[in-house]
Amino acid sequence: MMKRILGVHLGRWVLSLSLVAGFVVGLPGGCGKNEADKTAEGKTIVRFWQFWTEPKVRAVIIKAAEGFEAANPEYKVEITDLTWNDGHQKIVAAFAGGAVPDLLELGSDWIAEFADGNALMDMTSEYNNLGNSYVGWLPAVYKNRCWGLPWYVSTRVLYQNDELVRYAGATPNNPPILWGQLMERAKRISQVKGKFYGYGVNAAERHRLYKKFLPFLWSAGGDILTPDGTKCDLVSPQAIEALKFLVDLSEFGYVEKQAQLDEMFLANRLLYHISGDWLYERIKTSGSPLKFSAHKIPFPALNRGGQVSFAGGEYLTIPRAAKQPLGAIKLARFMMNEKTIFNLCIATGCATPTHKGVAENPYFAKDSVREVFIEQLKQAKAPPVHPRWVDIETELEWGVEQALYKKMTVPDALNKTCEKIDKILEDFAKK
Amino acid sequence: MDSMDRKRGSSEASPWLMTMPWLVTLLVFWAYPLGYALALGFAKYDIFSRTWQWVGFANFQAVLTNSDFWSALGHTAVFTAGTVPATTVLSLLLALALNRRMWGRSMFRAGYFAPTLTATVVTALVFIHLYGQGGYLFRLAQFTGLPLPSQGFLLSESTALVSVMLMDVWVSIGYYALLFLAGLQAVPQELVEDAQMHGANGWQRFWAITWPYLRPTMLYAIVINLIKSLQIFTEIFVMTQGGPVGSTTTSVYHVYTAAFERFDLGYASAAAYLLFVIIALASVIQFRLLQFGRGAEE
Repeated sequence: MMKRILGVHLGRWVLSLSLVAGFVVGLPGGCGKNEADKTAEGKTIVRFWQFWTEPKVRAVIIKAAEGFEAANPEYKVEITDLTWNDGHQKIVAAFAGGAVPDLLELGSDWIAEFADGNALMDMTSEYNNLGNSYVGWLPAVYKNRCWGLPWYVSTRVLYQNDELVRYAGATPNNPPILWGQLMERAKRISQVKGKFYGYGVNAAERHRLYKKFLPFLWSAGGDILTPDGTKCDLVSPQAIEALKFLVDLSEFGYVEKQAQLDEMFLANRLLYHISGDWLYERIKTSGSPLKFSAHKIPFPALNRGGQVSFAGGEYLTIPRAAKQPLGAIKLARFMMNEKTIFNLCIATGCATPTHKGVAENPYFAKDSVREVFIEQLKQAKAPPVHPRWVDIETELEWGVEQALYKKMTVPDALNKTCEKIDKILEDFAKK
Repeated sequence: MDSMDRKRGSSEASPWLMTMPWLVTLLVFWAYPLGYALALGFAKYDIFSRTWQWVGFANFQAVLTNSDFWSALGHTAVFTAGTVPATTVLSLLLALALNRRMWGRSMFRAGYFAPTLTATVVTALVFIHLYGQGGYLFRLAQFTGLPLPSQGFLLSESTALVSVMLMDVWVSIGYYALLFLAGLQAVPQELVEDAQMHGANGWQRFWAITWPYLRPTMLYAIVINLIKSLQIFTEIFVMTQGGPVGSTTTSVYHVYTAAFERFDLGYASAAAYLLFVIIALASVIQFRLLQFGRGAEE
């Protein structure tokens, strides 16, 4: 019996497990080998991961890739689409698994995280060559080195419904410069009989809510972190004033997610709404008769603060483990050229091209709304370039939400937020 | 080795070859990830450098002392306690109704089952609009004079979780009704007719005849629905992302954010294993009930 167990059964087990083990061990190798670096025609494959999935914009990316292939016949570009919902996870998983692309589009908020993880190639030499021709480099600079090329940048401005503003006792050409004016008009329009709201307040919507608080925080002269980036600075009087203003403004506002707020503005029901250039494009392409104007972010008082808005963007980066870094840098330069940036901006409706030459094109320079965006960008700030920004952002949104939903008073919410952010910063410093 | 031995050897080996695809799948996609996740639960893992640092039970301790974990568990418990009984009762009533001879019965059966066939993401996206301030359900509630939150249903702390629960019940009842309908087919009609002839009313017929036959189906439906509810994720991910103010953060969503937003894989693995223990305990209780049900079946 024992002999049978040891001889026959054990033999079968060994055979089975060997086959399984062979399969398991062979699996990663087999998968790796599927990723050929050359096409059947002998062209070198350059893998490009990007986030533009809207057909109109993706067509521009494909056309640019084809243009690159025509100019560099030794390369073949393979494009992989990512989405903002899960792109970050896919990229981290790719880095963790060692299966990285050659050229990678990254959101400005993520650059420090990947740079700190030693996952990106230093692109300071590109900055030295291209620096003067482009805007929006700062979010790509971490530890005095540049880790990405500014492909697309944007900011937020205050949209005003020029018809509704009359019901609020003002004229369209007299936009609110100070917070008090904004509050007063929002209050007035909400008292008008009808379905009008004074201001579009972003509800609990991750990765968006903080972008609506930061313009007020920065315009009040406050900041998220201390200048050396080692402590949270959200307990400052300016931060408290800014969040209190947002909470008070929400009393006369319409609380919804970004997409729905944009809809409400289009539907002539919102007097004021902070949004990006995509809304301008949407209004234009929808054929809406909406009368509106765009303005810089208001600030607390004439003797303090400034019209500071949020800035963010998308950057072209090269993973350190890229198989074709040379092909990647050539493709990145092609994607950054004046023609591609212009076409990308036309397709996306971007108001603030990163290429200075494109920004001077009459298409952008002679458009009153785009002009506001370009002016606002000059006074816009990006969130701190910190490897743990994604976590800091989560806590910041938590605090804003606590105050907006009246779960805590404004000072308590900011105090608690700061405790959480300080813990993140301490953990990072220990690491 | 003679031909007989060869034949016997081949026939003895064939079950192993036949089970190989399953065995490979089990090891590669089940046992290995489970073991890996368990190991991660005892480590701090840096995803970029792929380095491990053993931390003992620190991750489990961090989970158990994190108020967010308990809060998420509470929301999951509320979700489960709200949806499982409601779905069970409503789907049973629906099955009883659809078991009668009536005009358009097949059409109704197909109609109630349709939400189950629709992708959860699609249903969730539709309900986001229905629950919004301009949405049909919000307007309907406005029209009927019900007290409404100042924001849409999904943006109010007091109504968000209930709204997701209602959608889940709406989606699920068709599936469970189908299970009950199958169970009802096993009820011998001659017994029902006999009871009717002896003057038993509808309730008596249901309780004395239909219910004992349905009990195994009922317990199966409850077990499956309980496990599904404890693992609720997609609806939360699409509709609320755990908000507002964390009021819809469920256990699996909590694990997801730890793993794939903060990339704290050690914490996430520890939380996932604790959740596994909770679901396993709940299942054991259900299995006890199932054994109780088997007696009735016999």
